[in-house]
Amino acid sequence: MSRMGFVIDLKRCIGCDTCAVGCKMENDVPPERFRLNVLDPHRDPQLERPLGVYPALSQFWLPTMCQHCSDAPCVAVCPTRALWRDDDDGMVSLDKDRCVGCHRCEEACPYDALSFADETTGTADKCSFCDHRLAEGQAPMCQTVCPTRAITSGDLDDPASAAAQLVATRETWVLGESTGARPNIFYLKP
Amino acid sequence: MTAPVARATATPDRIVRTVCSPNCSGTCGVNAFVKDDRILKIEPASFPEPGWERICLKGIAMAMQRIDHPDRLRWPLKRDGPRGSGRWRRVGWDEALDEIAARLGETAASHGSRANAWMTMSGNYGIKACTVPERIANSLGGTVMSHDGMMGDLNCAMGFLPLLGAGFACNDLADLPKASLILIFGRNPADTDHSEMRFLFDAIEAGARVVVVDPRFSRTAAKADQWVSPRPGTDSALVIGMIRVMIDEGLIDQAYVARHTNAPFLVHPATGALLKTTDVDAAAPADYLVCDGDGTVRAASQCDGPRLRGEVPLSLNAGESVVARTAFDHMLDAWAAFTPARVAAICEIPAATVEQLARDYAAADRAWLWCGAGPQRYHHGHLVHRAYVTLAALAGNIGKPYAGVNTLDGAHMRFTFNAPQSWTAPGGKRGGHLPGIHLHEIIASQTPYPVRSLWISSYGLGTQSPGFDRFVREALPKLDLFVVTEQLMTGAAEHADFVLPCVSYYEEEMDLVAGGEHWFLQLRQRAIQPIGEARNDYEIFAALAERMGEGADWALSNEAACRFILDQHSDPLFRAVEWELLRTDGAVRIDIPRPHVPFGDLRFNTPSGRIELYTEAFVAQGEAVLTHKEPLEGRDPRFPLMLISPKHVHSTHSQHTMLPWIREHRPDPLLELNPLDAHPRGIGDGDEVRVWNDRGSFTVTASLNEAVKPGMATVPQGYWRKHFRSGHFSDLGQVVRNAVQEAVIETNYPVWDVAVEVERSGQ
Repeated sequence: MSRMGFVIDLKRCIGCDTCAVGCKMENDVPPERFRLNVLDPHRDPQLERPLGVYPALSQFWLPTMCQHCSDAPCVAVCPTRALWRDDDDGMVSLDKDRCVGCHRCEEACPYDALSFADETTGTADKCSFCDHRLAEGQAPMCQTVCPTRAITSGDLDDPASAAAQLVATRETWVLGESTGARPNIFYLKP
Repeated sequence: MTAPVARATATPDRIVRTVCSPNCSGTCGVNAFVKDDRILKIEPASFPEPGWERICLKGIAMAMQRIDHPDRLRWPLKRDGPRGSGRWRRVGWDEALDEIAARLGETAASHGSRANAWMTMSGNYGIKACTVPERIANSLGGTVMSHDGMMGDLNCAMGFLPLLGAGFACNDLADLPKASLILIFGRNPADTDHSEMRFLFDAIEAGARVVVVDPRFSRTAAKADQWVSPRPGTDSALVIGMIRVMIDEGLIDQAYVARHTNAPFLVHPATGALLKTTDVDAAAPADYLVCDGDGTVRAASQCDGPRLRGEVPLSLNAGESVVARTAFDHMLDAWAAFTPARVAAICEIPAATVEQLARDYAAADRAWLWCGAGPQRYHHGHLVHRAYVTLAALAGNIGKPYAGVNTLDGAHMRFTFNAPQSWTAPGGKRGGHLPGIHLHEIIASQTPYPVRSLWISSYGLGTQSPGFDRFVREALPKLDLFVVTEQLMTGAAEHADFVLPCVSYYEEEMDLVAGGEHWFLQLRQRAIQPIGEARNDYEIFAALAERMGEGADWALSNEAACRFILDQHSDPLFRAVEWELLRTDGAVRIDIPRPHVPFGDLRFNTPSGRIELYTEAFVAQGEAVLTHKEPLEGRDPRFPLMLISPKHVHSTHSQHTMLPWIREHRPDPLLELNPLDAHPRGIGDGDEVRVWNDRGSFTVTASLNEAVKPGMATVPQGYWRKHFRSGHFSDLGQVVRNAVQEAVIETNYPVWDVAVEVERSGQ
């Protein structure tokens, strides 16, 4: 039993979008669709505007993707069990063969993590945690390509993992805590 | 229905280690996963030392979307209508090269061989690609148009060179965590050196304080402990203000300054020349004169503790009597006016900030001054880098580990700039050499001698140089032949007589790439076969040389050419690289000592062997000592906004702005304006605006952004003419000769010395 999650260091993230582009390369994500988006503090994926008024400004970037929630709202609403949370690794997975394209997951997800990328099949698409890479002993592509080493992944329930240690020693945010979804992406505060 | 098999997860036939190397200092090692001669994906390659594995969004998009871009040029094209008409005829290499060779021959016969010119830029970091335009020009007795000034960052070198005897210096960026204060002037590594940002974050985590000086709240400024935003083009005033505070508060390293700079040297009051021992005693060994603690005038090398200040009467040869003052006194005169209050007014920052920066810098044990190319993009931009050197020298920081004055250094500079002459001038043949910064003027006026053909490669002339519209109007009609080697139909290629398709670095058979800001030499090798009929620059010029009777010098294979350059290299560090190791590992670190401490021996390749804070060579130009000079533009009330075109993480110059994965994150360019400048002009977010000055105009969408200091506007660099509703921002630029820069190397393109007005379009 483990709980796989990402720890993203917002002090290190420079908003360069390399994770987003690397994800598209690794996962053949169609044009104009994303499994991973890097938002500015105004939650805009393209514009990059700081908070505040010149010269009192601050700025950070927020890579967002499926939060692999422990109580995933998408899993709860999926009528065909195309979405499920694996008790062994804690990851929320998607079986496109079972997806009927009802978009309920999209409505339920607090994180805009699901896109309906394939217009032919109409099925959902989302971060798979690069499980095909994990199976080969490799890190997810977003982590592999991050030039500033801002992304760490691992078992958050294993106190020895680098991810768990970062969570234990740094101040963290989770997104949408009030939703009760118990997301498993922890953001180290900027 | 099952999902299609992902391209990236297909099983590759092979994994090729090569090098991503557009004009980017990252020079990342890349593993290309290849199947059926197609790149499935790329991943960061390993290095002999861990920590350097990295790639970025640009490298990914380049590999996946530019190589087989629908607009990729696949075969030679010959113009089939008026220049710029867009009418082309596909021709074979033989037809293209036969006709080009014939026309070059005719030009040489009519106007002399120097009338055929070649110019390249830095679009390809492979050493063969960088150097073969010079090589073919020399082979055929043609003209090399230098690219130093046109590149627009030559002032970094021209600020350093006269003072330090070297144009470049930088600590090993992996040593950033050893610094205690990192003062970043006009540099935005998070956008331009993002591969090295991890070291900056390591430094922050190790406790370093980071200060960023940049008029715009940059990606890097967002990560700093402090952001200071001077008015564009005034950084030298800020630095002089800091120096003034350090002097007033006794914070300079007097012993260092007295021993390692020429500040204590005595100056002739009338001529400004530094006084020499031979001025008082014609028979004395040549040296400079200083005044020691008890007022005795001595040879500099014979005096351990010369005075930094004061005057002394001297009887010179031929009976001339003068009262000479120290060079340092002359500097103090020049800097007297730069009080914190005045600097605050010049730079539009608080006076207290000037004082605080000076005190922090002086107090820091390992103060790493990291200087960028932004502040030198003005007419007097060389003064900025001179200011950085002066500041660091007065603090005793030059030659000190993890401190120093850092611009740019790495294997690339040493490798490329010291390419063996036996390579660049085969058989000792030499053609002409002209300053490319004056390309338009030289061709338009046909002086100092006729230039009737131009061949460019690795150069986005249509987006990256000033006034391409004027080049087309005034220079192009004087050319009998204009050839462009390219991958895509760029703005310049559209106006060519022949467009020749060149390979990307994934198709290149072999080249050597030295690290932009690191010390690894890497092997670039073929991952996939060339697209269409594309060839590399060496192969193209070799085929030309053969047609022009110089083929014997161009008979080397690509591998043999690489080995020739390495074996014959003028720098022993490169000659020492073992070819077999390079073939095996793909990357070899050249043997730079650790830590790398530029000027660690405190010997400087200057006339005095010291840091020449006082520069005798510039007396005539009024710049014997550091001063601040205002940008040329910005004072005309008709054009109240300075226009800056910053680089950004989404493109290396003009090479990535057309790629779909890039455009998803940064579509067409936006003009950023502070709301304080936008509102009085009735400009709202998303409005189409016209930006203009006396030289040109362009139309673009406005974006209101607090990141931009009031009084300036920004437009992201690298976008093509077709990405603007009309015009292009480079049409608004200018080149004005600078006497000091011409005395050092050549005038630098002052890319940002441009003032504009902005109005809502259609008004």
